[in-house]
Amino acid sequence: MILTYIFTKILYLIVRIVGDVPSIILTILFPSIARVYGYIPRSELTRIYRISYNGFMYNYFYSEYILITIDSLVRSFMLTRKGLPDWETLYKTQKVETMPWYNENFDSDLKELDERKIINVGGQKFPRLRYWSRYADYVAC
Amino acid sequence: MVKNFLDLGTGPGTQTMWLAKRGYKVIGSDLSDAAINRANNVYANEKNVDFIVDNILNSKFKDSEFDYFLI
Repeated sequence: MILTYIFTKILYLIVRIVGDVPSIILTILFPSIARVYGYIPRSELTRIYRISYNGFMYNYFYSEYILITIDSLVRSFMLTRKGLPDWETLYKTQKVETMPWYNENFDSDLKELDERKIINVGGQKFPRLRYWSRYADYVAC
Repeated sequence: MVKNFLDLGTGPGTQTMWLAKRGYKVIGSDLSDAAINRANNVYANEKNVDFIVDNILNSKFKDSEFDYFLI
């Protein structure tokens, strides 16, 4: 767990410096981490981007995992400190069906967590929010 | 016993609705008025679900009000 935390810290720094997630990390290493912790269904590994919007009470260090795998549009806002997307304008002008995080079906990871009755995995509730607030300049809210 | 759920940053509200259909009592919150208005209109007749404007970084909700949180 400590190694994973250090690893995510390093990845976070890479993203901050490079400005993007290297494809090899996105396609190989991230899914490997997900496999180890089992929070992302193995059959849905290609949907990691969506996970960033619907992260479901992952462990402490998964907050950063979520931050660095977030959708490219939001991510660019976050990492360049140009400001957050104007959600109000976005929802007024764009059809929600075209938004990358839109899914009319029940998200597979939520469904799995619900069916396995482990939706409170990690047991962290608002403390995790407070952790996120450290990244207030970056967090899309 | 019905579990209370807070879906932070609900956006379109689709996952909030699915959670309600799964038997949870759910509140979907979002910073955007437009998103909340849309969700309230689309899901006006649904039970066990409310959509409320709220800032995730300065939430008006209390930890003790909910059993689960979706970020």
